Amino acid sequence: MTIQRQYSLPNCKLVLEGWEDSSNTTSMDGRPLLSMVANVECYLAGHDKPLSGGREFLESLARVVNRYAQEFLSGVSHPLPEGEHSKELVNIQRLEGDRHRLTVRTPAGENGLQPPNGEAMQSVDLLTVQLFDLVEAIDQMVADGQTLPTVSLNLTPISRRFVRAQEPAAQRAVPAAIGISSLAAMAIAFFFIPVNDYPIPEPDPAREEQLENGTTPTGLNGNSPPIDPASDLESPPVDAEPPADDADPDTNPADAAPEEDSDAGAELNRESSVTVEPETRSEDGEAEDSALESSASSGGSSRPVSANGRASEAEMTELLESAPLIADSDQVDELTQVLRDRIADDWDQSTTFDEDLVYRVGVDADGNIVGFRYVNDAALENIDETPLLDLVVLPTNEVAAGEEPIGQFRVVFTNDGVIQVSPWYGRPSN
Amino acid sequence: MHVSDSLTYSTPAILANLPNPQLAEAACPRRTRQQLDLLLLAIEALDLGGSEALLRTARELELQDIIHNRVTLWRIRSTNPLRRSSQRSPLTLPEAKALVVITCHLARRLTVIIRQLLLAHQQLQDKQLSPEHNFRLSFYLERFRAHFRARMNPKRAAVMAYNSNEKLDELAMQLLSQLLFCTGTAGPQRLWSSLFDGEVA
Repeated sequence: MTIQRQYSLPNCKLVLEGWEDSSNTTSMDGRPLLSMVANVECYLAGHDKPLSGGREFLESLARVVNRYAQEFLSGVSHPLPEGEHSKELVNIQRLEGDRHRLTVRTPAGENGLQPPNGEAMQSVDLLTVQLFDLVEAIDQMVADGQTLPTVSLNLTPISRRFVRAQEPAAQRAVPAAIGISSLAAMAIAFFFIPVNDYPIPEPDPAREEQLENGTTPTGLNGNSPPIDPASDLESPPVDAEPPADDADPDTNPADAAPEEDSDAGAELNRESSVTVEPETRSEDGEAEDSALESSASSGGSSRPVSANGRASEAEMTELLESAPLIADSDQVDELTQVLRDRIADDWDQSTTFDEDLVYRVGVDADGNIVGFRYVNDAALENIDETPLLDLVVLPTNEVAAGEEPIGQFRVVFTNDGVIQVSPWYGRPSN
Repeated sequence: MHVSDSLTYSTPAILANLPNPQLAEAACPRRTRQQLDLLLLAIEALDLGGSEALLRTARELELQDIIHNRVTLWRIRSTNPLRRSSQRSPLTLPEAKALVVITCHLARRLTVIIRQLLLAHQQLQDKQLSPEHNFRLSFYLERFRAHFRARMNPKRAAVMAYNSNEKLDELAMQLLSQLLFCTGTAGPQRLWSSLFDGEVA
């Protein structure tokens, strides 16, 4: 008994004709298993004559369409192994203007319909939507357990071995060129930075002892500088903190570095200027601690704590006053929710204060709290009751502080345990 | 019952048919992180309640164990290296799978509008008219450009490449047609395997 299966999409109809293998029985739902296919027809919208062929055509169509769909999604082309091109009956090419040319070759003699003296070629141009319908018809056929259960699609990513060779050399050289130029720019920038005179501390017997015990492996390296701020991170108990002046932002090379930001550049910089990054980190780390201390002990009201921990009122005021404001109302709405969720997640709501705590909070485009100010005295006294200090995020060096647009919000912790977040300047009207 | 509950808790069944690719590292490569976030950006530009819908879908698909709340979602998406404050933290395979499933689920719900916009774009192109001639299409493109500019770091070389409306529109249309392929029967598997093209051993 001949079985016909049809998979219909708005722009594509795939019709299979075949029969079931005598040994197999009908499935539970009464649909017989189509295991042998005799004829396949693929009707595409806008073309009267279907593409047709036998099982070989169907398998080639499924393979080629599948591969092309993956190329389309990833943008990475899947080259065929040598000699495979001539074997496939079906081929698809990308054309200008989101069109795709499907070509089907019918080998001589097949179907009995083609001229006996050679191959026939048929080609159809498809829009992306039509191509998708073809892919979907095939996917539905493959997903149908009662139709050709042996046909499956190879949905695996292509190996990187095939990709490297495809990129033109010029394209591969671009990231390296950007990296090298940014390295040169860094070198020039560093040239103008005055060398910071570290007072070399007297050797501390306690520290010497620790070094010998091998607790600070960096110190054991004869090549490392006498004071390696990074080692302060690794061994906090050692009392060799540089004087507070060293935290001066003007002399920190990382701050003064040009904002070269290509990825390749950043990576190259990381590799080639190893000493810069630990310094920045340790400095920021210390600064954060000092921010915590100063805010806990400070008595003056409306004392700001900025993200980088340099607790200067002027700087925080400048950040809040001068940084461009995020004006997109959708984004402000989203940030309001992100900010409320973040604070709510970290707040245990156990309130010991009588008055509402009000803060003015600066948030970057992705919801990181970059700084905040106290609005009332209760807010200052009870800062430890709120999670704000924990949530302040150190700025990445990508964008200089004050240049990146920020959103400003009024955050109120009420004494009955409710968090209210609202845009400081109201909702923008765009 | 209890046993099956605890099993689904560790790996949601919906992610089971997305096989782990053979990567050199356990975390997702750069292109994967970028592409997933951009596809979600396109969905947000298509659907007015897009960012809410993302969270709702995560709950519907019982992916709360991977995407706990808005902040987790935000953190996962911030692994896109193009973002203004891109996170250095890695994107794990379960997180990426969750994003794939959510993307395809939402794309399927938006099938009609995706097809309409693609066909409208094609028709305008054939007549050599600009996208502004179709209200819904220009609305989508405008929103996509606004989202992209607000969230991506303009100092990154990869973002600088999209410095004009035309180039951003092209990206928006490319993402839209990629979303179309996510709507299909094998959408999640197709998207998943495409994310690692050229990245596996």
